[in-house]
Amino acid sequence: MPYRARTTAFGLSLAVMVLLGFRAVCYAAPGKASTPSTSQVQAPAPVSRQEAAAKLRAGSGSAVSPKLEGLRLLPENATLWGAKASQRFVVMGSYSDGVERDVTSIARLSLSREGAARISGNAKVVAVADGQVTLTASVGGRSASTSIRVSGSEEQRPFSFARDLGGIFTKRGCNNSDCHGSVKGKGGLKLSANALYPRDDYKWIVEGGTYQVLSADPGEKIPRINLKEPDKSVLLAKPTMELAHGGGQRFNKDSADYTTILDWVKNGAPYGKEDTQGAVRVVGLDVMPQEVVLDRSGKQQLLVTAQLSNGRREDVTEAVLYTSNNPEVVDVNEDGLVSAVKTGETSVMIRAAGHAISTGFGVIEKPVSNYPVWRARNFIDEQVFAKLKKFNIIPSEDSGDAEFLRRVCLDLAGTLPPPKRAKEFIDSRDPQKRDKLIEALLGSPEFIDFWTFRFADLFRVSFEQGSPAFTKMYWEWMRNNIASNKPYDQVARERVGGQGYNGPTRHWYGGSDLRRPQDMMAEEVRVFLGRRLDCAQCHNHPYETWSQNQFWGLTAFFGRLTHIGDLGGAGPAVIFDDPAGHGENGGGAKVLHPRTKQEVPPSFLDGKVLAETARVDLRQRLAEWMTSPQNPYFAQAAVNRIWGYFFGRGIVNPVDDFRLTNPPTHPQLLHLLAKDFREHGHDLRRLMRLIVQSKTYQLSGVPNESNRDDRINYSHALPRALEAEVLLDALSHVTEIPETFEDDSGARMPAASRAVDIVFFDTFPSQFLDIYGRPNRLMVPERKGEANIAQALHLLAGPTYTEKISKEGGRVDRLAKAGLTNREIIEDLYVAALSRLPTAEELGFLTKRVSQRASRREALEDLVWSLVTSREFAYNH
Amino acid sequence: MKAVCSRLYGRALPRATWELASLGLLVWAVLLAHPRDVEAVASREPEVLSLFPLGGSAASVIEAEVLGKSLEGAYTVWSNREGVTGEVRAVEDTELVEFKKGLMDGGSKKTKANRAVLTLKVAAATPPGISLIRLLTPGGVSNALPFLVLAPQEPSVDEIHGPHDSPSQAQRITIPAVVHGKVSKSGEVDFYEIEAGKDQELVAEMITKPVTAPSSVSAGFSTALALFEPTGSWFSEHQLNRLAYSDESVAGAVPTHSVLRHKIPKQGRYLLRATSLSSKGGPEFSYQLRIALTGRPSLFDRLRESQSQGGNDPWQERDFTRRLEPDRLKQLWGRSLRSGHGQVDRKPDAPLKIKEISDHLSNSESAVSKDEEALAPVLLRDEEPNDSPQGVKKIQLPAIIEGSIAHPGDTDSFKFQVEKGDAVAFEIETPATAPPLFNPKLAVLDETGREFLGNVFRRIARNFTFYAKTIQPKTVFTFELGGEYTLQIRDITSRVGDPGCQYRVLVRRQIPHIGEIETNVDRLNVSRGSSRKLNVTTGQEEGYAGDVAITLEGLPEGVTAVPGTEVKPDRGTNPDEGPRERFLAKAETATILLAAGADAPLTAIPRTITVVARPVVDGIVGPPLRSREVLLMVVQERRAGGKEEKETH
Repeated sequence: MPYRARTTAFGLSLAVMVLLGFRAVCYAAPGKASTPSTSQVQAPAPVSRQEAAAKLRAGSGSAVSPKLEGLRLLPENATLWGAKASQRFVVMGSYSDGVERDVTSIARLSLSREGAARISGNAKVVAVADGQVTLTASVGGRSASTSIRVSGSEEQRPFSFARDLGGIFTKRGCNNSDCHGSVKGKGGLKLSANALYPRDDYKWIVEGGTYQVLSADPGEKIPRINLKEPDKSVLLAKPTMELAHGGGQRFNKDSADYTTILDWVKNGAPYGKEDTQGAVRVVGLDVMPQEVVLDRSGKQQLLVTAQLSNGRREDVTEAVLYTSNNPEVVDVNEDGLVSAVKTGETSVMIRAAGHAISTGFGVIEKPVSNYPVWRARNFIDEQVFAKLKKFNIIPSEDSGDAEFLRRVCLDLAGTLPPPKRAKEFIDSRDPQKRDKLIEALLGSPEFIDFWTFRFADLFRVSFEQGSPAFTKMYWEWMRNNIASNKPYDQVARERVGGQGYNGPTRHWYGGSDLRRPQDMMAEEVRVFLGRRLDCAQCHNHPYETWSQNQFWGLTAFFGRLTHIGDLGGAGPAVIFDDPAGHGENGGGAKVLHPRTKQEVPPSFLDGKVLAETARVDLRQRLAEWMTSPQNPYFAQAAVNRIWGYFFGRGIVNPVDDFRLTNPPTHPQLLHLLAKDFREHGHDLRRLMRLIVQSKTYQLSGVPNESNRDDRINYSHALPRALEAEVLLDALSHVTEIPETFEDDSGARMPAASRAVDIVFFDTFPSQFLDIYGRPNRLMVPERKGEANIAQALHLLAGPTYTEKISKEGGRVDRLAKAGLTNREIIEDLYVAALSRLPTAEELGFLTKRVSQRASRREALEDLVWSLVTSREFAYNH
Repeated sequence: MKAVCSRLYGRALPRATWELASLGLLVWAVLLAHPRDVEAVASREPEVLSLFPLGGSAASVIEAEVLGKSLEGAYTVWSNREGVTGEVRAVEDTELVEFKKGLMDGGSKKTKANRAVLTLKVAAATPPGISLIRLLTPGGVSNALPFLVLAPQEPSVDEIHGPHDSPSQAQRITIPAVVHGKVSKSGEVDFYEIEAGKDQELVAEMITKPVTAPSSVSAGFSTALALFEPTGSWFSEHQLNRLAYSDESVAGAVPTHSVLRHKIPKQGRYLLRATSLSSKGGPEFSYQLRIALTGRPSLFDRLRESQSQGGNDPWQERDFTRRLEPDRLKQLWGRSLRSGHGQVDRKPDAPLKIKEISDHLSNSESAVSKDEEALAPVLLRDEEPNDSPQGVKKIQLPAIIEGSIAHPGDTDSFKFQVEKGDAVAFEIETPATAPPLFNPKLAVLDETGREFLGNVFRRIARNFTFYAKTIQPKTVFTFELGGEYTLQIRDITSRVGDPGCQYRVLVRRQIPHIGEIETNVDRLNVSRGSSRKLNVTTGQEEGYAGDVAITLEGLPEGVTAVPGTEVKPDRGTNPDEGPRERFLAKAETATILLAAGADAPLTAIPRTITVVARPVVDGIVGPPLRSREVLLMVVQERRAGGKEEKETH
């Protein structure tokens, strides 16, 4: 319809938009009464979720003060090793409302006997002499005990620069990425972020010099310590503000940290033992408690324990740095005491020298006393609902059939259900109908087309492959993988280790040249391991443990990748690894560290260097390591990515940004999904089946009072913008006017081709697809699904909408000429576009408005326009 | 090289090659039956773009259509094979959409074109194979188009006239069949319905240019062939389930000859969909679709096999599919000449006189010494295990080693002995699977196991940003140290290997000789009173340092051949090509101008000009090496648009 006509019909359009706009907010899809799914039949809830949520809203979830029902002490069975060793304890109380609270501040602590240890402030027990004691905590008539063993109380712990000074630098924030831990340091002092590289830190402090990205030359060397006059050391004068310090005061002269550093300088600034000399080092951190629920006034003391390389453990609660990932939800002080601020969910990051860990916090209003109980369909539900219960979030009702149908068709096949099928499904009373539908969709040709499209996106099938034939080769490989349900680890091995003249090897093409080894490596790690190492190309990663050495060590696996033949599309090229050194860019097979200019041996991400005798077919070795059952990254990255397609966000989000500072929302779920994926042959279809069969996936998009703000716990379905291609196909489906894909030379895809079928996406320009976020695939695509002004303009006057709606032979044209009643037509259009029937309110309103219009045809066109421009249409929900 | 061009001044040569010209007699007969005024129309040089149908059965008469440019006045058909003849029944004007050349480039324009209606006759005894069809016009002889003569068991079927671009409209085909169809417009797909039984092997081929057709043949379009099962789906009962797609890995960057093989899962109805990969189409987008269910070798395989059996160009010096037979040394000596073996004894720097050349043109034969002939290489077979240099078989030069890379990672090793200063050539043939699917990598190791010689040629490529590498079927090397060396053969990747990865490696001492002889054109239309340029490039192999005498046989009356020069653009020097001479022959190009006198008789049919090269060493003229044949016609002076047409080559 022309733009003019659309504006004259605005009255109707606006009215329908108001109706749909409302629906778009709540995403309710009641339609006909749903047939209960199997899981619903098996899981009668004592109190419905809506009822429980209503209770919560009314404040009746916790009418009386909860009663303390039990106590426990953290940690249990502690061992204090070494002179002056200490351990903080936390007393946790279990209450009748199901919440466990930190009651340390009101607990009375006592030891079974004097002599072995003593209790100091802050619930800390300090070693006195070797022996065993029992610590007892009492609150309100309840008590809990734990044993404490003291040993080695005469032994002084040997000094370690890495642990002792690295710990101070970390605790005091000196080596933060925005301070001296930044790429080139600050104020002439470079420290490794989080004390990841203590030997480097030692050098910068003792010898001086500054870090250069492209050179190992440190420039002028000015030591930061003064061995002759230790208290004049810059390392002490700056953080105490005796000298001007951009970072402000970090500690004062009376502090233990000052004394530690001063003593170290006085002792000649030793490094201590190297790891290779048997130095005791920290190998990991533990934090207690994990996944904490606080009410609005709640507080929780964290306990952090270092795992040492000698097998012992050490309380480092007061020696680590705490950071709240969202201070608007919880605040944390420097001693690790966390305080609730407002309802929400976040995590607290804990950093010690060379290590980091996090723990999750949820702040709730009031606990629900009668939380609904129901049975999980599979382990996904067990994990998701356990957390929801813990965090006092009540999941939404199960989705209605219409809502589920539309969602699962779009998610599995990228296609709206045909109206006839939609009506059949909604009318069916078969309790197994959802499972049967899932199987039908997983076995459909549309599934193959759609997931080929999605992986062609992820795997960047594009003009970079050199010629249409080569692009098609790569695409066909991807399609065959989907069609045959090839194990995903095999897919990864074929691509990462690909050699010869075949589909996966076309991936390495970068136009007329091969892509650079470092770019190849970073992409493979991102796609298959979910890690972004790019920062480490030029310097150690500022937020993560990835070092520049690791980056180039991994890159070394790609150093031999080369080709014979023409990459420009004129002839076939063969990809292979050349051990003799015919490397790219004339550089030979050696990969050189950009700073040191030294050859970097191929080494895995865990730091293990590939043995010289194994340096044959390097990329295959890497692919095997990546997909090894012992490597947790691969399966986790894969399931997280697939999960993201179905829920709009990953358990780790973004889906390819696994890092310590971006923890998973459901770590155990991620672990179990990955385990299941691994144990079942990396079967993508099985994984998808598992997901869409879960109650979690099948929850309604209509939120309740308790979960309205939830965006990360899967308590209700969240709307997800349709991918540009899927949206265009849906538009063609509703209007019954297929899109014509044509380039400016007249090349045209076959009639009725879908946008998801486009192989040469560079060839067929589409303003619509560009506006709605079709990526260029020059890098790993990220479809954000964000609205923009161009979309708004296109909705109003874009030819894709207006022409399809009003074109002769389209759905409106057909329906208008078919002698149907207005009601029949409106119902048909609703089912076609939204996979549901209109509500009585909608039907009554629209029937009246259509009949009032002078031009029935225009009224119907306006109705279609309103439907297809609604959020309910443009989103999967 | 100093190319020596003889001035023949139209003199009939004693050994003029009339073989192909004799085929033209058939055409001449047609011409006499349909006399045309060949002087009536003079136009631009004719160019043919497509032929429809692309083939036909023996003992049949076929109505055919050729689309092209400057075909006005076309008066007959020229074929390079006996048994295929034709006549032009009509020529009319038409329009074609001309797409930009670049595969990914956009843009097109409408261009004036011609449509010629032909009657092609395929004689009863004509064996199956590829014929090259050309049209003769007053502007001369056109470029070639392939025409596939079918075997008796291959029934030819025409595409139906109505639409069959949807599964429900699919054209029903009984197998075996050869369908001739067109992708008549952009976006068109052609569906064909077949019946097949469980476990039958379907072999379907879509051909727009046969895989072994000469590069001079007009290029076909990129094909795309898919097999479907009409199963329907939950979404639509009409949905097709795709079972297979043509294997591009056999067809290269522009797949003009696609092959689809599929084992039929169950008895039933299946659909084949033929279209163009680029989604482009037009009246010139004609194709041949061959469908068989027997599991017989495809045409693709048969053509490849024929090619590897030497059924192609007269001499292949550097092609992985050339045959390396025990008579290879004799063949090489036949392309060479050694001082003392010829009839003329002269000093090395003494000038060669025309008379001496002339004397030898008529009677010189191979100057191969009987001793050299006797040195037939020993034939050896690869015997496993021989992956490492220890304890492997020792070969005596010359030797041909036959073997296969039977599994991924397989390496075959052999030892050989050379003397200091020995100049050795290593030649590789791939009799079955060839590059890019099997890429034999040859390496020579010294006694420490260090690889110092291989067949990967590396040179700096475009913009000096990276090295372009190719594997070469031949490597030459002069050993500075005598002793025992190890020859290793493997696939260049570590993933390829099966019994089909066969190789033959000839290790021998170098024989300086003339290699491949190429011309820049395969047809020349010379206007009266003007000239056309013919470039003849000869390879100088293995240190050949003599001259090459080039003569043209079969020049028509009134046409003279004179030496010329060509100014080539200065491309600068390539800074790092490594030991180029180790992998590539030196090549010299002689430019010959073919001039037609103002009164030269017009030719109604092309004359076949044979380029003959002779080695000239130390003033001794060696045996004639007949190589490329060029079709030549003398045409009326052109006056297209009032301007002389520019050179098109």
